[in-house]
Amino acid sequence: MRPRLEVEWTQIKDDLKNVFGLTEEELAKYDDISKDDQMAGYEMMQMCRQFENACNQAYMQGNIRGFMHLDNGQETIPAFVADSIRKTDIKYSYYREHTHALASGVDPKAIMAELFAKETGTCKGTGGSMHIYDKDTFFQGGWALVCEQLPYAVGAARSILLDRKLGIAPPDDDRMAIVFVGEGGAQNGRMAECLNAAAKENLPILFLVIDNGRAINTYTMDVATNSDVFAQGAHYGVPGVKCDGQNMVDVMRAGRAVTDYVRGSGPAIMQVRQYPKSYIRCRHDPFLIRTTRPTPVRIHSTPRSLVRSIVRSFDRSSGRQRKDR
Amino acid sequence: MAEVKEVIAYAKTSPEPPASLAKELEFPDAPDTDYNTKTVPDTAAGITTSSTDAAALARCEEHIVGLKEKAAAGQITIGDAVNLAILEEMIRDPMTTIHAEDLQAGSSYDIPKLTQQTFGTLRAADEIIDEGHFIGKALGEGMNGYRPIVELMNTNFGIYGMAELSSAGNTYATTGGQFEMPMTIIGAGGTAPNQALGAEHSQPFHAYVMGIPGLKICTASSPEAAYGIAKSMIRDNGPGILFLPVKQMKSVKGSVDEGVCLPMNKARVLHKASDASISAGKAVTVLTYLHGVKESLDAMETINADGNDIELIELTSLKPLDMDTIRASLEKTHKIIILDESTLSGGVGATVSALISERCFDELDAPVRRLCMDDAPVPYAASMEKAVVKRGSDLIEAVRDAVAKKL
Repeated sequence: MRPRLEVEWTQIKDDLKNVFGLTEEELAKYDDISKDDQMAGYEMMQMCRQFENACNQAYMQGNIRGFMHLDNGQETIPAFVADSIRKTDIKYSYYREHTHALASGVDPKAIMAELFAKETGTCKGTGGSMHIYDKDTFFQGGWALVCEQLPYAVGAARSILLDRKLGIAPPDDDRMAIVFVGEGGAQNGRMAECLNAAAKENLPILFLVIDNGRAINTYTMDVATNSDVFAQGAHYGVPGVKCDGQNMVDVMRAGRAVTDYVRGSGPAIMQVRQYPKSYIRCRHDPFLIRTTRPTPVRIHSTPRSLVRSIVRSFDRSSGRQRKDR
Repeated sequence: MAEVKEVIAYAKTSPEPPASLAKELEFPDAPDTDYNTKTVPDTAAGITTSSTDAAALARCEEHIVGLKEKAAAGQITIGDAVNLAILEEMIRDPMTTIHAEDLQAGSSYDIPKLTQQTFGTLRAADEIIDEGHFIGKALGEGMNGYRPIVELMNTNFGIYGMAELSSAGNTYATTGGQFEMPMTIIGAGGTAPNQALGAEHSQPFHAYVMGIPGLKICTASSPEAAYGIAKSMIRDNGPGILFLPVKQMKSVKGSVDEGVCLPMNKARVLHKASDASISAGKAVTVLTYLHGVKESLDAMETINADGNDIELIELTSLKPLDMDTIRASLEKTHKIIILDESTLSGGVGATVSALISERCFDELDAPVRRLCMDDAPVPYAASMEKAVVKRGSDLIEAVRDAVAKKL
């Protein structure tokens, strides 16, 4: 229904220059994502898609119950997380967080066991799909109420500065906090308050806005005056940039630039525009279908198929045989 | 994908958690924990000295000495007593932080006084006017090794933070015990008779939070209880909220038991009924908290003049409730009245009354008598308010009724 975001890397770089203040020289190092890194991104995307599909099947079989939100069609984000976010960075996500947990290094067995309500789950079965937590990988939820995670993540970012003030931070500490929120969720007043708090204390926090065009089942534009959440920071002096979530390479490039900025300078917003085609937004009853306006099928609208065609062109040019899974 | 198949197989064959797990995960620290036995790491003192300005720390210590002198003279207020507890704990444990509105100005009752001047703006943060926002930030700090204190300028404002407070209560259990939540919320609130603070500053937030799982709830109407319970609550590794009486923060004066942490699961027996009144069947157990304590103490003379007496029990622990102390008194009097500054529906007295009827039924000669607020916003005009909010005069009547066996 809404067209794919047509934005070139050169345009993103312009935003990074004008809004973030990065120089040409600094930006140049983000131009290239090596083939190895692209393959790693693709593998993460594959893992996420397979995992989520398995969840869908398990739900249909009655092994997973309650509310379950799957991330199909938005896999470039875990690709970026695996690439730019480190184990000791503090992560706060929402209820559609399975893939964020996977990309953060949480054991997939423990995640699935949690969904299956087993004692070997991340939370011993106390939480379920919307409450994945893992202390070791600093994956701090897994929160079900829309955008409640925003101030929690700000507090976590404060804890990084507190560690430094108390002299208990690791040497050369450049940890950051990252918080995931939808463009619908970001219409909540919490977003404004958290941008203010992040700016006021110059906190190392990245607001990663996952823009799928919907707030619950309503088109966001039907309820929100302005879905350009990346621009919300202007009022507080927090820079923001938007990129096309269907383009894994651009998401990774922008991701690297923005996370380096957050680590070294201060808070930022990155909005990733998605176009999820075959998308299970909320599974709570296999037979309930919420009617929404029909979405037209588009070729190459899912990141995976796009990446597959990129990867195939690599294989052709390098003559390399890729192992099929 | 092979790996995903293995993941599914693992999940399928794993065992389910036992039914007992929910109860096990209720509190990181058991209700009967003695917080005097809690220790801080050896590195704590060094971290405090190296991260705090020496001159500021010296000024803070001087201020503490002044407060202790007041306490020794029996002249310390509730606000100052809590300030003393907070400063002591923030010096003792450098991981302790505090958030409040008007923090650097001391807020309304000097509870956060000198915290920012001593420890700096990161550890002692002034906040924008949204309790949800800074309770939320406190939660994030609590997830990462810090021990946040949040002062509510008035507990009514806590309503803005219900989502965050409830998530704090859920954290330990819903993470399967991975994350403790050592959050302490302190605020002045409640409803004094004739307080004329308007409906929105007179709401029973203590009643609204009763049902939040994982949250320990305490009250204090004296500097001694406020100091001792605040210290414990700060050291407790789960979330706790301490309610103080809004109209008595500077008027009630007392002392503190220096350095002593009080239990968080005990009621305080403030007055025992005479043996004579008990044998004559003219003694009534009275449960109350916050402003009700002073109301009851002030009513004592008239109650005695009537030839009656009361066992006055202050509910310093609302959750978990100290049923043992209540039962011990009921075994003597067999009559009980709750002077309750929350509403008929959903109030604190309702929960306590239900628990007593369920667990002490055989000790009761009559139904539990609940003197509580009407289901109405507290009116400004005193002429209206006296019907809505129950007070000492209502207690005197209720004691007469109980002794005369009138329902």
